[in-house]
Amino acid sequence: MTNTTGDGGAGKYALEAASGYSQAATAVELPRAEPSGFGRFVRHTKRDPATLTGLTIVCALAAIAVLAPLVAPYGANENVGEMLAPPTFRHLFGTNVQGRDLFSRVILGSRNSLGVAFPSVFIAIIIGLPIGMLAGFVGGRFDSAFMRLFDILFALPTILLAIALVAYLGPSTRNLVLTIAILYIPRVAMVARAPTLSVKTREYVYASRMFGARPTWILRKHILPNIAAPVLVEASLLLSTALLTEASLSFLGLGIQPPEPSWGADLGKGREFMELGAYQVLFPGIMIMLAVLGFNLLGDGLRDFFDPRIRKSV
Amino acid sequence: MRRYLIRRLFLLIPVFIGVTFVNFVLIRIVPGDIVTNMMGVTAANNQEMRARVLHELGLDRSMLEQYFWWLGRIARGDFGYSFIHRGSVLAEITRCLPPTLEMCAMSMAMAILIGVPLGVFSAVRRGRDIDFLARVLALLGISAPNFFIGTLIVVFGAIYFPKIQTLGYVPFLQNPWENVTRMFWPSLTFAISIGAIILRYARSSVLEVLGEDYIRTARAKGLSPFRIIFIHALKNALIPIITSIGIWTAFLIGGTVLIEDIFAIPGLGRLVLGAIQVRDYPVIQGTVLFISLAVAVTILVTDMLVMAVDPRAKLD
Repeated sequence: MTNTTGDGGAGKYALEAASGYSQAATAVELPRAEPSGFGRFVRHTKRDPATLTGLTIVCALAAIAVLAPLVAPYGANENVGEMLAPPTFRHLFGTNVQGRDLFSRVILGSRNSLGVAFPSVFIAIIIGLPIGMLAGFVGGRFDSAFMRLFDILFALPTILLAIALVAYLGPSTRNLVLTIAILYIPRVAMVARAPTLSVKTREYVYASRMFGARPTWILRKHILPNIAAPVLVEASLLLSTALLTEASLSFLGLGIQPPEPSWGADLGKGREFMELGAYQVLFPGIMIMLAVLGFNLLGDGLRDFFDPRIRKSV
Repeated sequence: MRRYLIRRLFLLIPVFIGVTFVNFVLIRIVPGDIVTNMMGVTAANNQEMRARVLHELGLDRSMLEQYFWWLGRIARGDFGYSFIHRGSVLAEITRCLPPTLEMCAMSMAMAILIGVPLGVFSAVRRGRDIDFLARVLALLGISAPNFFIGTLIVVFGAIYFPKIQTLGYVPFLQNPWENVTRMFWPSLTFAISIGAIILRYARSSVLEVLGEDYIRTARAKGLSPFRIIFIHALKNALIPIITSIGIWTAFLIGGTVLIEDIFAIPGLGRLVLGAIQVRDYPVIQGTVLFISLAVAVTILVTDMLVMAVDPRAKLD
């Protein structure tokens, strides 16, 4: 990694420049921050049906989650008087063995699914972003130490570790959020680190330093705007895996605990009465799939938008 | 090649230390009193019993001492003993390993058979209907959680094809045909998700290679399209494909818990789940450790394979 130590002096910049340029060649080249980014994104979305689909799904899910109690015709744990009823107009997705309306549970369950995914990714970013920026910016031993640590964390299988962590901590929504957040911190840090490495060798950063800008100022004003794009892309992709992890754990009975509505848990519970009707598992599963699809499409779309050169095959 | 291998093996050491450390810490984050947690209040109040449990878990020593004591035991192949049935954890792991391994191997083979040809085909027919179809299918395959696909296979199998047995495991030596036909379904579940990912990698990798000069040269020489694609292009496109296959094999080994639970396969994943339900901490710890190490080794083997295929990697 970089040879720079923490001390100042004239030699430092030369050294850093020498090591920095070689890294810039391997690190991800970044688009500069654009003015009126939002307007351009809307135009990009119009031309790209995949991104549009993703954006629509994510917005619709968010709206459902926010308005859940208004949309759901019944309470999540309300006994509607019919057990294991197949889908009808009165019960769109049928009812489960406890006589609960599955449509209402799916709608209300969106709050729990997004309510785990969003906070866990948010916490991962709040912690991972500064770590990655600092590691890239400070460089040297500090950077190598973090990279080694993250290598180790990457070697651990995520789902298994999540299962183990939740098993040891005990299943609860709070533990679920914490577990997923901890597992994603290294991924966010890695994503934040790579562009920091290339941005810190730009001329305007040197100029800033010459004028005596404090590192915190440089990090905030020069580095942060440049790494916002890749982190945003990663956030969208992480949201899909966070949602999937929550659903997996709830499916196994280690996540959100019944009678709280959760897509994963309802899918898992529906298996017990599967001979009586596939609708028991179909709708919660479709919701998970839609949400994952939405976040993935949005993430891919954002990536194409920010850097058309690395356009991936969608 | 050998030097690289040695260096990579050395890099495994910090990974190993990290993995063991995480495992070691896990048991210490159990909230509340661990003895009460495991044995109930009566046992926890019995001083003699309490001391024995703590001693067996190694919790009566200092932290550092505990870690090295535990590490020493692992090094000797002693993964501890189950709290529930007193059996050796390592014996449990070796008992549960064959179904998991078989499932991983079979699903990987199926995923490659699905993903690589479709990906190549999709790249060659870029922009056509078949390409669009393959990409949409890949996207659906990636987005559909494998536990959802698995549940659907079990549910629809049970409802519409009651004669087909999708659940359970039969040892190969006992009945090879039953073994393979039952293993087919959980393997297919995994193969759909991973095949979709391999398809995407294969497609973009082949697309990239098809733009190279030597492909144009091969075309100019009048070689058959089949030869160009499968000999010239695929050989060079193989490297990113192998890398992705390796990473997803590692993921597979770590992610069998849900599929084994759905298809009632007595493998490592179910061993962990069962142990979690009865709070059998030594079994959880040992199995998680074993799987983590298997993942680390898989990643190493992938790198070796890439090196074997790609002479450029040897220059490093």
